[in-house]
Amino acid sequence: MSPVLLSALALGCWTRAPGPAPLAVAEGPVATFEERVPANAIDLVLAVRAGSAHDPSGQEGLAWLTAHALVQAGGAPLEAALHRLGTTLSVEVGPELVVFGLRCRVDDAVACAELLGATVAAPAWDTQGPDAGGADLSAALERVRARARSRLAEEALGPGAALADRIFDRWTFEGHPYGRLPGGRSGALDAIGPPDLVRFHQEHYLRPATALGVAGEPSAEAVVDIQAALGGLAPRLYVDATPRVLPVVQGRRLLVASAPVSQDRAVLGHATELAPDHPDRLAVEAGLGILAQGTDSRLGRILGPEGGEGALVSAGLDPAWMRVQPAARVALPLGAQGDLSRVAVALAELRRLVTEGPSAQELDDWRAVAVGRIQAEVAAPQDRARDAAFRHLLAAPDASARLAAVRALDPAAVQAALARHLDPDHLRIVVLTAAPARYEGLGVEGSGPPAVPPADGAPWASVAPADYGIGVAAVLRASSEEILR
Amino acid sequence: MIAARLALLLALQRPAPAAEAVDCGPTDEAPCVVQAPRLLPAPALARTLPSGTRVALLPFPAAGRVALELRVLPPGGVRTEDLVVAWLLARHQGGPAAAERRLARARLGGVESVVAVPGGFAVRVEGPSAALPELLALEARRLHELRPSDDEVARALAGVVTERLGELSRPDAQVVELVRPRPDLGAPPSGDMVRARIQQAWGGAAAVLVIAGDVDGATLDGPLDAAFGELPPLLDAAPLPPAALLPAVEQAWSDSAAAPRVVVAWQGPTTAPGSPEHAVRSVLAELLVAPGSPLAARLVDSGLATRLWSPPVPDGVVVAAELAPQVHPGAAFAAVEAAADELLGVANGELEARMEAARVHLARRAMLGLRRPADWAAAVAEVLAAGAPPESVDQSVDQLRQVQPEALRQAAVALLRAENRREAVLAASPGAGQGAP
Repeated sequence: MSPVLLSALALGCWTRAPGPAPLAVAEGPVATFEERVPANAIDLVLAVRAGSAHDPSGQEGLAWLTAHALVQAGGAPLEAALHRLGTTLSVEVGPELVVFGLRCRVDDAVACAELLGATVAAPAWDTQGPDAGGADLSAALERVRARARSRLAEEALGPGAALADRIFDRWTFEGHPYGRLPGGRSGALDAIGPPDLVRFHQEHYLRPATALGVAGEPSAEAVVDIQAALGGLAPRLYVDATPRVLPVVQGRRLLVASAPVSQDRAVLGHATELAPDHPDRLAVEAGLGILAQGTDSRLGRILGPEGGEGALVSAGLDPAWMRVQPAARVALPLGAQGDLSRVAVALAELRRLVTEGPSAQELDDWRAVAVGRIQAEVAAPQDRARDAAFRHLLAAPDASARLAAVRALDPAAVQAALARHLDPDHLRIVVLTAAPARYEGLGVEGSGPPAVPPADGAPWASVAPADYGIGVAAVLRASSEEILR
Repeated sequence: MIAARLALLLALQRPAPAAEAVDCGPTDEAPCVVQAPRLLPAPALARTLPSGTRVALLPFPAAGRVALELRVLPPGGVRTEDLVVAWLLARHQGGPAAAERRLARARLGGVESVVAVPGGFAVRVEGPSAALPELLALEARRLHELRPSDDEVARALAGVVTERLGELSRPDAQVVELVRPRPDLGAPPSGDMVRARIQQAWGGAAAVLVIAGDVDGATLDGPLDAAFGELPPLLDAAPLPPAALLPAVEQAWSDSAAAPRVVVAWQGPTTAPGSPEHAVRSVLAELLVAPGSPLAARLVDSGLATRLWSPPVPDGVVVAAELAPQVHPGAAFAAVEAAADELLGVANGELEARMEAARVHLARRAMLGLRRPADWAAAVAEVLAAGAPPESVDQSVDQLRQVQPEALRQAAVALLRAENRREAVLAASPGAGQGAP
């Protein structure tokens, strides 16, 4: 699977899903959410809907480079200012959002607010005049490009769990804006020049696509100052990059990806239309959690006795702030013998859950954990401010609505939602391994032992090549570097 | 707008104010004196339980949430057996009722992690304040009843080895490991050895416990005594023999280190957090790697390195740099050596000016690093573990302010010696990405 093919698919499939585009008021101040609590520090979170889903085809990485170049272009004066304030300006780039974070002493709130606002809304490269691709921006771009390249090179080599997820994302969202991973592609970085950054900033760093979260007790002056600075963002309507039509999966498709990882790992699943406010979303999350989230899940209990590896299984939907069209995925370590027996077990358990639903006890246990997790997510003021900014941009429900929905779930609703949204027969399976030869000989519709684990808990016999009855419709092979290049 | 921003940046670039003005805002025109900021949100209550466990309570409003940190420092130093015990704790194994307790903790709304800390391990739990007595009881029973079977020990050993291999895929995490001795996984302990080690080194006297957040100290004595007051005492633990010094130059190859890292460590006596010696070391490390420092100019500004930082360690000063492509490690080592020599030769006036900026930065960074109840719990646990009272967290800022040029110069002369120095290179392969020296 070459990057060229992926790019071609992207061009061909990037059509907008039906439905109304979200409307926002272009004029007016940036939406601001304050969590006023007594504190000797303030936290500023500025979220912009300018993540990698907005990258043009062939320029994957533009969102990442733009966000980091904004900070880099500040140069030594900005670095010195942040150092003296005892803080750092963090930048996170996801598929949907770019998030800038700054934490300062409350006495420094005005200075910090102005720094953040100026860095994002009035980039230093503006000081180069109409020739916005001036020397400073070029130098800043070269520095962030070098960092992006070494980061991509290291991410293509591990750690295993994160790498398996990235490969799954790239493949699952083939032809969809989410197929452009937040870090971009090394092969596309060189195609990005200073004018591209300027254009991306002008087109996507818009007032209605931006939200500010503030926690602490900043002075009124600080809030006014940052609002004034953010007033420099263009007051144009935001055109959403997602949702878009999702790629169709036919049958079970297997990708064996090679990388120098210490343990083989599999990720299986498919993309869904479960928007943040979809009524079935929490029910599907519950089902996936019961299936494979940690040691106490069904898969966790099956794998646990074999080496404590139950803690290494995970499952769920992508968080709402990451993707408004989330992937449903199950990730698990593969046995030392390098076979697909555990994938077969995971698929069998997924089918059983989709067909029969969870027990009342399983759902109660999941509910207790979920309530604790949601409460923990918004326990701190800075988390609540961040959550509010994200929800505003992505139309996600707040914590109290999520808690109410969790408490209202019943096993029948979970089963019905799983049956509506998960398809055990049509999904993608990524196997990440340092020894791809272990999986050679796997054929389409191959045969092997039945997809039922041995009753006595003994390890599966190593019968390679065999797909343990998974029944894959296609098998692809590539190195992680080829896939992510 | 742009003019205002530039004016602000220029103002922030002004030379640091005089020594007594360390806590003024970045745009202040004139020196000023303000009170040292308190890092602790409230006075801590400290006591020692009959089991020897040292406990500190840090009550402050936290919206009904509480954080608990149980830090265990095995006497004599961390051994392979201790890595096995920590692995079992992290996965709630090591006894017949371990899984039930894990589920019980989750039902109470507790979120838990087990992490390595200097000299030991920390179990961190966050949850609703109302469930604190039950969460305390669960954590204590985990330690009290830890009796892994031989099979569990064998699985844990395999897990420890896998985790160590996993570290190879995180180059930054490997950096400090390169210049510090670590337990040898080549001699796996038996189940009997691990069980003996638990009795020997994982008792109440090896533990410190800190509870921070919405906690009522007056009502917690009973649950605390019930949970942790009867942990078994420690048996005598022979200290580990002194670790053999690592080679002066260590080379490690990591497939995942696309960009080579170089590390220079000067090893010296361990200093306790909150002590004057620790503050001097912190300022010294900051002087070496701060933006605008001579070393940053030689490495980062000149394009030899893309990053420069100083990972905190209790027994010396470490400088790490990520090299740009085609840069030979020898060039970076030479730059670090030259910067250390230059620092030793700086006149007092110039040194004081540099120290002032370092002190301001470190004091503010210390304050800004405390966000959640768990952060305060960890900060207090660190000083308790070093044998200092909780107030040392606040005193650490005062200690920073009191570092004088002469003390810093003496510390630098004692530490930055060739015989204390260890160098390491982390690269994808021998010679990979290296240009001429």
